[in-house]
Amino acid sequence: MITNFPHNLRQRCCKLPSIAYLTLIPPPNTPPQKGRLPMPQPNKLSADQLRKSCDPHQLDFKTTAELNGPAEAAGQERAAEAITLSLGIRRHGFNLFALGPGGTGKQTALMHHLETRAPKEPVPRDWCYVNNFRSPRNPRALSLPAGRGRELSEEMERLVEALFTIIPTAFSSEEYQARDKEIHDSFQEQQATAIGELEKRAAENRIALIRTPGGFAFAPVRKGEVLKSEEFLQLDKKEQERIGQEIERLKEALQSIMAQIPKWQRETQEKLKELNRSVASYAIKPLCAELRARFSDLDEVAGYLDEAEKEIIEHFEEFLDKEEEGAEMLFGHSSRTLRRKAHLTRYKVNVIVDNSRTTGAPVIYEDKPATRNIIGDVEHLSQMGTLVTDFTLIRPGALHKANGGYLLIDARRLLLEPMAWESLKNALRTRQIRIESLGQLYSLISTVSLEPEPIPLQIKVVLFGERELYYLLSLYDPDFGELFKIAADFEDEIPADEEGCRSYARVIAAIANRDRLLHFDRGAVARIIEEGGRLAGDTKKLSAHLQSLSDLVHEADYHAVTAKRAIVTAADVQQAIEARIRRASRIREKIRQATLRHTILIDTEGEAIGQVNGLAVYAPGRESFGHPGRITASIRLGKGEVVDIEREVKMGGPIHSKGVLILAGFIGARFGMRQPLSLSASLVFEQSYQGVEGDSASSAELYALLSALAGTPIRQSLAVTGSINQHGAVQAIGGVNEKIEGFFDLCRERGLNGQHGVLIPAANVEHLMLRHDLVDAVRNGLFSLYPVSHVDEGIELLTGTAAGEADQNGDYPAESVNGRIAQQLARMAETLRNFTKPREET
Amino acid sequence: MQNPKHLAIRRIAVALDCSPHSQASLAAAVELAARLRAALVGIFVEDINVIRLAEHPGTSEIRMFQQEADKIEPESLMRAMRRQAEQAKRELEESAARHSLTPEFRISRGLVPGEVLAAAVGADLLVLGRSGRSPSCRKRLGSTALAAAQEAPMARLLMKPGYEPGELPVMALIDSSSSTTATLQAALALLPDGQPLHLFLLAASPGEAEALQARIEQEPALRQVEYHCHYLPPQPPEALARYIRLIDSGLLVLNTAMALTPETLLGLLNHLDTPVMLL
Repeated sequence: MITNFPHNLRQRCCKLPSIAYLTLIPPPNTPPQKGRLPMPQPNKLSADQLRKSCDPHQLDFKTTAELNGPAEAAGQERAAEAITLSLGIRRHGFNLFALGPGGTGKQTALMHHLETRAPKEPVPRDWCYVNNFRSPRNPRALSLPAGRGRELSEEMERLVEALFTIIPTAFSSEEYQARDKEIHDSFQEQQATAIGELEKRAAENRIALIRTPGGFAFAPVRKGEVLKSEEFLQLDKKEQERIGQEIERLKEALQSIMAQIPKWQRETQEKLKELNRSVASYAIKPLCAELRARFSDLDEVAGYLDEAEKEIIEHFEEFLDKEEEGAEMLFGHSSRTLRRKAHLTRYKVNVIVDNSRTTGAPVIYEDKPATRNIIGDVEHLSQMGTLVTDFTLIRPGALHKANGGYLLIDARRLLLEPMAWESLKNALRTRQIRIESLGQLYSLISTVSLEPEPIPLQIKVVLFGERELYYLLSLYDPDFGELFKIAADFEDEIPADEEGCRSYARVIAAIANRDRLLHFDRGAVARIIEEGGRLAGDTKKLSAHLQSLSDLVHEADYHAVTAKRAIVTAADVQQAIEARIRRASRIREKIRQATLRHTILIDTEGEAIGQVNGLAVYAPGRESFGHPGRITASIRLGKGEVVDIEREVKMGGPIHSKGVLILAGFIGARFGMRQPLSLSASLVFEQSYQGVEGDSASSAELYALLSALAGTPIRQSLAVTGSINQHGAVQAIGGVNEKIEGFFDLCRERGLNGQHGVLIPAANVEHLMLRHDLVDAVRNGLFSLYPVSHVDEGIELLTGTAAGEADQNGDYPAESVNGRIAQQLARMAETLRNFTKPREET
Repeated sequence: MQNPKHLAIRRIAVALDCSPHSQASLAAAVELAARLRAALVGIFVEDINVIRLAEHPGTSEIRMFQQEADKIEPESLMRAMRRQAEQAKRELEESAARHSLTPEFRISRGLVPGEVLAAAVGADLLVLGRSGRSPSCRKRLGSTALAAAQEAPMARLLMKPGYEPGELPVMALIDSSSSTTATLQAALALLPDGQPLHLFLLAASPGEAEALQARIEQEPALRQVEYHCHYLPPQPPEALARYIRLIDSGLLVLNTAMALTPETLLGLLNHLDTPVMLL
């Protein structure tokens, strides 16, 4: 079954991200062996050096109820300065990009600045769209002082409602009816007179004008009856000719009259139109004048009202609708209601920005920055299977609402929305908001739609997002630098000084107030501050990730409420932290169990040549944890190359490969000056089934290789983390706390005996924020941490054998690790030489 | 509406020629027939003058909006006339069907006035347009309407387009002759519910008008409606027509038995521009 295990393990671990191997080494408490050179051995770290505790009594409050202030972390002075500068410059292009990891309070800080600044700024004007009577496809934009847009809209609605009464009254008056009849009669009289005279002239010649089914004709008559054709033929020729000639003349005269009838009709229509115009104008003038007087201070509005008045006069018949009995009902509305609605729409005022209740400059946060939500949209209605629209369906975007103020957008969300970024840039570059649909932006559709008049834009846009986005936009988008000239770079961490701790307490208080949580006593705050240091991975810093802080506050509140406490204590915070770790511990537990059952082979006692315990950090989700991994080295005759098996099978990342090449460089520089290196070495992370990245295991790999070369065993009770350079100096790594705790947990499970420990880079000592139980184990001498600065220190600690220092001739003491390596390499070189010689001779 | 028995009409004839006046006549005739439960007869006359005209060699027709005159072919003219008759019949039947009436349709050939009067014999009411397919768009009575006004023995309703039957305000011209009661009864029969009746009292003096008013106030039927009396002194027909128009524009009920000269009556008919019920 063991043969199947690697496969199973691979399956279990396949979802894990790359392991980051970092560095370090430990020493045993056994006395140095002979040959030890005067290399000073690093002292174990004391328990006090492993954690920076926050003393609750240093906090000058009892509970957070005594605190107030913004939910904003201190230590963001650089970003705050950039925000102040950007908001202060009103020039084009000085928009702001707030960059930093998510959850660091960028939006909170921005809102805090804006809440202070925006209310003192002038309220922007209202914006309305109205019908463009000359070109309905291009609705007209009107700007009015704040609050007057709604007033205009209401006044226009009242006017139109009134017109439905006033105009029908005017047109049903007796005076109008009389004048209308007079004009019609006049036209009829004109025709009748002309034709009557013609009939009279015809009758004088005994000819009648007859109406045929299709027109008119002349015929000779006698006593009112048309002559039969035979009667006509009985007339003498002269008379027949006379009649024929007269009929021809009459026909010409009739045709002349006919030709004039359309002209008379036109003239009549003109007269009627003029009469209607005059009556309509007279009826509506007082109302329009009153409305115009209200807006006489606004030339643009007055111009619109003039046009609307002309339009109403021109289309007065729209207001003459009468409800027919039994009128057809459409979707529950009578045809009259629908018509009236259509007419109301024509003169409606679509107030897209109403600042009547706005105080100061608007501050808008657009949560879903789709194109239509940014620049607005022209909506459509489905009517009888057809999509129709008009200017009343123009909807404002965030740019409209924030015009004259500030617009905040999450950069990542903005970039994920099709064409939204381009639309925003276009608006900022042209300094106007032009509403275009996605179809228009992509030039995909060419159906006739509205093209509303663009609205001038005066705005400060604030984007916030991760640093990578800022750098990518800076690099690849030439417009970005022009439009977002100011960057507010938010810190990931803040100093763990007095002010930093106080700001943490203020944030906790603000969250508790805002979200109606229990308040925290100073012990709880101190525990959170310690956790902030742990998240920062630095004793001198606190994490600026306010989202994590907020989450912890909520979780601690939950535990306090569950325990029926009136205030959150340190125990609740600790419970929340432990619960969080426990929730994320499934994978860690699996690995730990596999190790305890020796499915994953990790020795924590005894010695082995070419084998060392490295330390890796796993980060499968929000929580990360450390765990040891076995690193082995093997050597053979070769040409001096070090084979990184992880890289060979493409499971090693570039940084890891770089670390291996560096250690090869160190070996070459130290031992390859006198003779060519006649070895090939292989390095591998045993039982690693996913990618490996990072150089923090490079020191461990080097120790394994040195052990293999020297034939000196390494103590398996120690684990190592740290990267190295080509001179053998041990360099700082990340995740030091998780790595140490990972090895500690395994050793504790197997039983601590005072031999266990971890070698860490000396530079990482100030990053230690270890768990209390680990600190206690160190205090009791059950576990040790060794700060290592150089590989030689580490190898001595790991092997208990002196590293050895080269003398003037470059020779190392024979019993030292380096001496044994030099001897081994010399033997290998000799063997290789002997091996190749006979072949050359043959 | 008052009791229809006041207007004893059992058969209504309507002259049809597809003109707007004819269509208005048809609508009024159908509405009255439905209301009075009377039989309806449509009359279409093939104008002999038009037929004879077509037989004249080289006769041409002048059409509206066409520069050149078209030669008239007798066959095509006859076809056009038949189509017109079919259209008249269709309009009659469709209109009657809306009121569940079954009309009779008659076609005759001859001079239109004479043929219409002949076909209407036996009817109690003849409905026809003030003018027909007149070439002169005249306001005055057309030849058929004139003949009907002068010669027809039955009641006549002279219609014109633009007036909705059943909704017309009703006016009546009365004098101190014995015809007044019949005129009043007819006017009341035609009066739509809830509308006032306008009575024009044609009298030589105010005193005579007052006496006339006092007389008609005795009419029991009038007590049930709102009515207004307007005194009209003797005047030329055009002045009378103008005054009537000033009061209202609706159906005027007249009686040929009034003490009016035929010239005055004819002049009044010519100058009135509203539908007229001639008893």
